[in-house]
Amino acid sequence: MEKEYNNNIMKSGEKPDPALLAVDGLLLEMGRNGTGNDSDFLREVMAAVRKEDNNKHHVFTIFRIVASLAAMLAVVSAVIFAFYGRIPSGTVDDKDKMPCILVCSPGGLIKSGNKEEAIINGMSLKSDDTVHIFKARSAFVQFSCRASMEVGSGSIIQFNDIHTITDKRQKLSGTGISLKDGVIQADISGLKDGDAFTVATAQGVFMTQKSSFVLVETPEVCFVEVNNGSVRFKDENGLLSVINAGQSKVIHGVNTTGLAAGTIDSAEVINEYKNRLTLQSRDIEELLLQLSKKKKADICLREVISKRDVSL
Amino acid sequence: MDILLTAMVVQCYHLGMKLDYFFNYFTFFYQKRCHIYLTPANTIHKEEYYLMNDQEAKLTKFEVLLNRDHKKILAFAYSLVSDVHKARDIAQEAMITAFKKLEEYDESKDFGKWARGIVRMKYLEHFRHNREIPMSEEIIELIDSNYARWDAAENNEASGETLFQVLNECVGKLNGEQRVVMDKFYYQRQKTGEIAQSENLNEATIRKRLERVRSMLKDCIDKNLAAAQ
Repeated sequence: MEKEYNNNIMKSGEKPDPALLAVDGLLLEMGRNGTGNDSDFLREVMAAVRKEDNNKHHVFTIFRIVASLAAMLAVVSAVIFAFYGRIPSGTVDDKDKMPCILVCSPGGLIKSGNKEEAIINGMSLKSDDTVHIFKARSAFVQFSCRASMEVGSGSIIQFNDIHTITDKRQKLSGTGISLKDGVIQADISGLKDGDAFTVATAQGVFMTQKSSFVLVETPEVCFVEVNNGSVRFKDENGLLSVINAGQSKVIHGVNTTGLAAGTIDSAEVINEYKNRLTLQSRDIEELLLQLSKKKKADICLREVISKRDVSL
Repeated sequence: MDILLTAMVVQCYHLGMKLDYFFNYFTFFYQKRCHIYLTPANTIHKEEYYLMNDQEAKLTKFEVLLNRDHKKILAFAYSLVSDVHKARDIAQEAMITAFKKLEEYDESKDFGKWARGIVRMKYLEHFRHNREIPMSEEIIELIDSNYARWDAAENNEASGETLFQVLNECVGKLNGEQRVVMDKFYYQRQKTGEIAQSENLNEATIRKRLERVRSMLKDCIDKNLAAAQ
């Protein structure tokens, strides 16, 4: 039902006079409170406004707390990441994808591009990193649970494409590492079918899928001693040869002169270089344990430790 | 004391300007954030605002403005709605909206006029919602223009008398018969029929007398405020 405006003074249908209606308003307000404040109205409005404001403020405060926590978390994460940025943190899902490579012994340098930094326990490696181990030091490198090697003192290794070593979905082409100088003792017995571990030297490329071997690189010749499995070698002309378990071999470069095959006792040289591999199994396990305390969630590390039967 | 206060204000100014983001994101527990507010010089001193946080400053600012203009805002609502309770509800609702939109209020302009605009909007909303016929926009505008004129005159009033003080003086000039009718209708909220019965007069006479009272008061207000300028 629609109603017409009527202030009880006007006759029905009469047009209201705006000026007189304005006076009506003033008189009604003065009738309630005289010339003083309408304290009831002020109190009611301010109470409603405060309630409204508090509700809004609470929502805003919660939002601000959440935003502040998120910002603080981001800052703390950034600081932690900046500090431990090179330590891998693989999960179960990306176990095969993460280049879980651990350099477990201090005493060397990693060169990444133009940047050089000292090796610390637990560092991860990237493709094209070059590692230089100081004299009287050794390093231990773990490749994604499937291969490991000890690097002797004074050795220089370039990690050309770590995915050919660590990611089973990658094709076998390319080189895992390049041994520029020094000695490595590799244990590739954990590699899965289809994976390959390749070491490039000045004389050619060594390839293996399941083996353990010692490889020595000098400026003119390299020496290899295979303890288990077999290692294939492809020289600069593309000729393939196989070195089986129990064999050791001296390999000259195609253009090398002055050193005739058979004039060097490879077993003697290899034994001499083996002295540079100073890390004991106990030392490696100690380093892995130290690392496991820092990186509890690293699945690769857990598997390595479990395979080595190290008690956590 | 003055030196101490000045030092605090200066410090707050610098904190507010330079570390605003820092406090926003890293110290969520920090309550007393300093801010600068430009307010009419005659309402609140800037220094007081410096020492408040956002919420306190907004509430205080609104309270000052409401305290100054609430009677005219209520009177405007009474002018639009004959039912006093309904008018107060509309005015209250309008003031809550005014608080929410306080950031939109241009401080160089009159708060009363801005607030009356919100009362108008709420009045129209309310009547449309209840399927009642509101006053025409033209009449509302004319009522508003009366208040705007009185506001302007009041602001220029040399003696500092408020509109209601002027009205009170004008009411004092009414004769006995007029005063009785006015008291019963506006102050005691009796209907014209009830007044006619108690005064032994017919209702048309009461209406005529009220009409005259309103006209006299309007002229008196206009004259007194104009004379004071």
